[in-house]
Amino acid sequence: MDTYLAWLEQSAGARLAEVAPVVFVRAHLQWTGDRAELAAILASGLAMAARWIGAREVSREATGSAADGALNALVEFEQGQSALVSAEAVVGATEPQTQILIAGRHGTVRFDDYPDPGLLQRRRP
Amino acid sequence: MSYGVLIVTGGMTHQENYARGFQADPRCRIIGVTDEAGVDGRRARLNQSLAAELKVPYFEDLSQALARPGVDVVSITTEHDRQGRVTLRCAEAGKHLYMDKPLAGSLAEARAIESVVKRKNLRTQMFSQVPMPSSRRLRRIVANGQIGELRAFHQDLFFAKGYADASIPLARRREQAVPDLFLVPDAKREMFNIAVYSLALVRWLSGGRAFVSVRALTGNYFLGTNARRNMEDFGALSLTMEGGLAATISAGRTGWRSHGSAGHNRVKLIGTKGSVFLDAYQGHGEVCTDRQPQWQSPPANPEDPMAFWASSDQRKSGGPIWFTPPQPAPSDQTVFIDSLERNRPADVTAADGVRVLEALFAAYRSAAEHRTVKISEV
Repeated sequence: MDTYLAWLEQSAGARLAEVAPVVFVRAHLQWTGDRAELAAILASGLAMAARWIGAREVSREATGSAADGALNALVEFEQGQSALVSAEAVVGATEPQTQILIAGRHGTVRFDDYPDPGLLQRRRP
Repeated sequence: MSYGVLIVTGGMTHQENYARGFQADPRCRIIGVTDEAGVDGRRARLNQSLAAELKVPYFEDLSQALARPGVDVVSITTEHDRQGRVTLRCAEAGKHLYMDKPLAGSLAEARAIESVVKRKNLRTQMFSQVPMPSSRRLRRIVANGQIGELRAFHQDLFFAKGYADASIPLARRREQAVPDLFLVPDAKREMFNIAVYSLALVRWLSGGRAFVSVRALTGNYFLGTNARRNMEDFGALSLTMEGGLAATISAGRTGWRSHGSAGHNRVKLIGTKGSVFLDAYQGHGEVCTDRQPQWQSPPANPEDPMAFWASSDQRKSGGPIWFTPPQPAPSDQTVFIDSLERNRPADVTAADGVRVLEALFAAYRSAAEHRTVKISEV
């Protein structure tokens, strides 16, 4: 998954200067049916959000459970910025998908994607 | 049957829409516009202005207006620090209540309204986004079992209005545990005014499941006037609901130039058998034309005048102009009159509005005290 994650961070991140500074990040990362991977995906998503916001996390509220197929985190950062990140299991006929919404003080960036499952399985060399 | 509708509070409120919605319904006749006796000069002028636009009389005293013959329904959009007591008087007068959202500016008043409504057996409806076609589609998806049992609800609801001001200092907001002022002419508390829609929607989609606890953050990210008035322009909420349902909401006013239309309005539902992601403005039109000044074409390459090949600069900038014509769905006011005709509860009643307000006040306490707050604490 790290190849896709790196591409995602670079692709969406490349437009952040147009809306920066970033004050809020919403991310839905629904990439796998393997619930054991959800915690790692959530952690990756939170790390990406923190890099986009560029601030230190000061509080985190987690809800959901891997058994239920979804983990959610509400995070506050040191200058009051915030993020809502969810790692969700792919179930049934659902396709792997990504929805990102970033609010900056000069506008918003939206990035929605349906990643190829093969790409999600690739690891960075 | 014909319904006499009394308009309570006028211009520069949502009454500008609601009153016209009632006036457009052939089953309704507007009796007049009124408000509390002794409102300030600006409010009186705005009330009179709407009355003139609607071509109906203005009654300066709410009590006298409520006593007039033929008043069946009141449409109330009073500023929230007054709306609770105004609604209570209308309920005590035995009128069916059509109310702006949120229900009131205090929980005590909201609960008193719920009690009077029950005692007098009144029909009520709080304005919400439940009648929107996108909300109806979500409800169909849940009802037809497409995603199985609903396990999580997520919504981002941004209103692309207001003049963003990036010069305001960015800092953790010091929230008030029990806010008491929600609206002034140049600022609104936006978690209160916008997250209310999401909270009403998740209750409606989940069959009225109760809110159990909430962790919330508020911020002043975008609007200088809100920062100066110490009213948040953004809120983020993480809730647990009855049966383990999780809900997260982000809601705020993000500035005119933050969206191609009214603002981001996105819902993701997670169920046991699948999920759905729905953008409320998926149904929209776009116009792209060389008459739009925002477009910039790349410079022409004499070797490749039509930019056929990758070595030519093919970067362009600009973007489509959206158009989102109003859908021919019934207005929220017509839906309320339908509920009266059928003698059935509305989709979002005063009781629903109280449950939503409890979640909002718990959210403010959470943001003020930096902790998860149980709804039973408020």
